[in-house]
Amino acid sequence: MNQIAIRISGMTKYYGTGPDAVRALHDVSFEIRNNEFFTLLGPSGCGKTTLLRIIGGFEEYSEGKLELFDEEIQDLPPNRRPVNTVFQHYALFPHLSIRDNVGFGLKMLGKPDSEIHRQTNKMLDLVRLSEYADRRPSQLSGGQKQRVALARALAPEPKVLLLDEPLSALDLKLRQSMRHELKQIREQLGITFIFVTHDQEEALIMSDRIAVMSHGSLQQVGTPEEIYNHPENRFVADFVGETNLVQGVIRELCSDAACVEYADQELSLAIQNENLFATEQQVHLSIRPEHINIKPMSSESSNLPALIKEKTFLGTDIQFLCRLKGGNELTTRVQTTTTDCATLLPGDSVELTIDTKKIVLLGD
Amino acid sequence: MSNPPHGVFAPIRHWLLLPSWLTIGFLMVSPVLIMLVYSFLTKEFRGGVIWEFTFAAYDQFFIDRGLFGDEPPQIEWTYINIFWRSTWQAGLATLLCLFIGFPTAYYIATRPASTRNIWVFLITIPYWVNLLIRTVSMKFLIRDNGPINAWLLQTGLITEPISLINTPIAVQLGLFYSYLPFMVLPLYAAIERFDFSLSEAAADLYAHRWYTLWHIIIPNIKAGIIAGCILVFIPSLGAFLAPDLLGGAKNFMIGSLIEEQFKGTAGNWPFGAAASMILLTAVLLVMMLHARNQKIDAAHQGH
Ligand SMILES: Nc1ncnc2c1ncn2[C@@H]1O[C@H](COP(=O)(O)OP(=O)(O)O)[C@@H](O)[C@H]1O
Ligand SMILES: [Mg+2]
Repeated sequence: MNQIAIRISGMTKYYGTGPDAVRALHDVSFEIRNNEFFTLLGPSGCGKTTLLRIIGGFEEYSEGKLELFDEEIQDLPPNRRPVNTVFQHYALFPHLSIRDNVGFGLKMLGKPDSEIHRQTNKMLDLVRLSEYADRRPSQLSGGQKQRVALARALAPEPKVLLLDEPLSALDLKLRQSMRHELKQIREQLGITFIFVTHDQEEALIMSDRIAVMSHGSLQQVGTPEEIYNHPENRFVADFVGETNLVQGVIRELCSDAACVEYADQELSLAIQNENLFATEQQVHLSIRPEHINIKPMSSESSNLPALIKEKTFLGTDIQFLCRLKGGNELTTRVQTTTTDCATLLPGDSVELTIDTKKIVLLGD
Repeated sequence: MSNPPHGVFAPIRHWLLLPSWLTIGFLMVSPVLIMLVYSFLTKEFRGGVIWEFTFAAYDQFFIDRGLFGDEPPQIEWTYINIFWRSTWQAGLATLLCLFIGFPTAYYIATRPASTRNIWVFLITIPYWVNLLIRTVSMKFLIRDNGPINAWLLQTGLITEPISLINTPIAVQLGLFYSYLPFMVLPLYAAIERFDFSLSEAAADLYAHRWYTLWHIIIPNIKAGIIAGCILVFIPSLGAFLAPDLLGGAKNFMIGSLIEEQFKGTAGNWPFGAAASMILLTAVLLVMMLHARNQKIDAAHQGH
């Protein structure tokens, strides 16, 4: 069950040579398990497409190793890799019908006509496009083209499916329903998906595990919960979800906790490994907006006093931007149903309570 | 048909279109009409025409009545044969241009965007020189004691010069060299517009390279291929410089035949005009066939 589908080790890729060379990947190593929904997440230009194209066989790499089910596949051209791709702009064959598009891979594999027909029908059913089988791609909407691209890539039953930002060209509603559909289809077919996106929300919703990338380097690999709750560095904390990244100083250290001074407060925070930190070290704290509670000022409290600067209504949540005494700013978010907060307005004095157990301490 | 834009009155619109109508009228319609009229006039010896209506020119082209015009009419094969020879010479030249032009255009279109224009420029440079001079140069290159033969003799690949002048091959070379850019440029434009992620998708779906070329790339650049073929075939069909200078009397083409009718005093204007009209009709038929095919294609693709 936990077989490794793809192992990437020390992958480095330069575009071009000499002084103009662009480093698109830098020493990237990770493993993708069989039957996993694995997401490559990172801002535009961080090398996601490059990595996907290397796995698909469309791009050579400068250094490193690429293994598919424990076999090195460096020398296999794309048409001999048991891997199929859903291209970012679909790349449907405009001169072929939808049916011929979907059956293309099977035809190339030399399957008999009857099997091509059966499998094509099955795939068209799967993506609910059976009535459109005889149309041309130009006669379909964006969402339908997207589903044809998916059916076409799935039809030859690849061991691994690569998807390069497949939803980015769709509008929000369609994107949300396609997320759901993709996830269902993967569970139904039980094959490995490698999904590329720059949308952290999409990554969190869909993935079994996520690899966060930045500037060609791997930042962290983990489940959505690990990535969200235990980011390993500032980039991950900032890029995945929203957070307040603030500076503090370590005043005291013991084996599993640190006393950190932030905004005239001494916060006692849990830490994993004291060796990563030293006393009097400048550190960053990642505090998620939902882990800061806000309530109207009451005189006897000893919590963080603050002033509301901005209030933003987000539907189920309300977001407040608060200014602390020292000038620091914190964003906090509470559910709209929390009654005593809905009436707060900019300019009101409030007090904040930070759930210290949820603060993540980050070095530099 | 599009609706007139709001705020522009119909009369003004017609006035604005006047330059186009004048261009089309003077430069395209009237020359053809003049030729059409002349092809039905009587020839004047020493060139020129007599304004008397006759079918004589067409009669001369298609029907053989013997040397003195008193034998029972038979089909005249001389000109039909010239016509036929011209057609296959032009067709062959078109194929030659396609076979050389396609890889050339493909190569240029797949270079980095920054260097493509340089390649296109290089392709067009020789064509700044007059066609006559280029054709004569070709003659110098391939003649028995020209540089190509000299080089082949020197390397010992051949022991006697290859005689190309006055052969159909020489005509082919001439036509090929004359019209190659008309093939390369539309092909280049089509291949440059081709979305190469389609060929990646084909490779991803286990297609072999040749399959991808034939079944993915070529169908999607078909318009460029056809445009290139038409642009080479039509001028080749009416060419006279290459057949005159490189082919000699035996490789006479329809263009040379027409040219002779209007040159000097030996000519026959109505006959030249009739031959032109026949050529024009043949070309128009080819174009109409192409237009019909395109319409059928478009209907298939639902555009
Ligand atoms: N064909 C190419 N030639 C040169 N540089 C490239 C090429 N493709 C991508 N790059 C560069 O490599 C980096 C990574 O690109 P890419 O993998 O497309 O990123 P992403 O998909 O994450 O947006 C970028 O800086 C990009 O400019
Ligand atoms: Mg990309």
